[in-house]
Amino acid sequence: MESTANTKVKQPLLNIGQHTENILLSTGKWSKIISIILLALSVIYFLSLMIDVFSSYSRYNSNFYSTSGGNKNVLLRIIFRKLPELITGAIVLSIYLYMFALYNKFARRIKLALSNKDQRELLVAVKSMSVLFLVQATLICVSVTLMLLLMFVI
Amino acid sequence: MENEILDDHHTDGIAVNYDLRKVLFKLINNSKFLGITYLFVASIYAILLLKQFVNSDFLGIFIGVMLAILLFLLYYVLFHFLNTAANKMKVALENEEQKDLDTALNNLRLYYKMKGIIIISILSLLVVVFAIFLFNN
Repeated sequence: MESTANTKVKQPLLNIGQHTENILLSTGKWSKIISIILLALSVIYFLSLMIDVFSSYSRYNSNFYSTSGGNKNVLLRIIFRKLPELITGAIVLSIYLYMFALYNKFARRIKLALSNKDQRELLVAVKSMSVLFLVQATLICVSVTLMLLLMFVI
Repeated sequence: MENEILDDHHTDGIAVNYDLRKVLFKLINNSKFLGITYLFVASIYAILLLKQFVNSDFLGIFIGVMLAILLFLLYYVLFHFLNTAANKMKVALENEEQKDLDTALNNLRLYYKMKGIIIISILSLLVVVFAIFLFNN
């Protein structure tokens, strides 16, 4: 009897009730949509990079065959020549994929947490949202600083 | 034992316990950081956009100002949702106000929704521009 009385006094006042659950589910849904868009963008970006490399390869190769009979290392040479672009592309692609992973993780975990009433899953979901905000803010700061540096200093 | 009692009591939902509270405070800080970053970026982009149109005629300046205001507003809306969410969540956690927690989470939902809508709109616009460019050539 005494313990029941203690529980009533010590219970946390805040909780994720039905109304809050609906809000969080909607947030998860939008997070999923953004993650799918990011995945599509990263696939398009990867394909455009590959198309760029292979179009240069086929152009260079056809010219080369017409003059000197061909070279097996043409693709390697083109990759080496386009290395700065490819490295930049790989960095951008990894950022896109990382953001996709964070958005997707939040959407998946929040759905799991609310369907199973799992405290740990909710904790992971909120953590991933927090990390996502931090990563986004850092990326924005870095990119804007680089842009301003390129514009006014270099 | 105490935790078990606390968890058992909330059968209708998940309780905001100590661990979750700690993570939510981190979320508040990061939301504020991201919000301020949006405001900073909005100001810089608006100034750069205005700089592009400063030497043009009256119509050019008018279009430049309109575009700058639109760009600033887009970023400001994102900042507003994040900032409101952070402030309300802080009040909710400090004063144990369920209503404020709901408002904070609703603002986070609106932030995600707005971001999704902005991304979809920009991509659609790009697709339309690309299609026009392709058909003209």
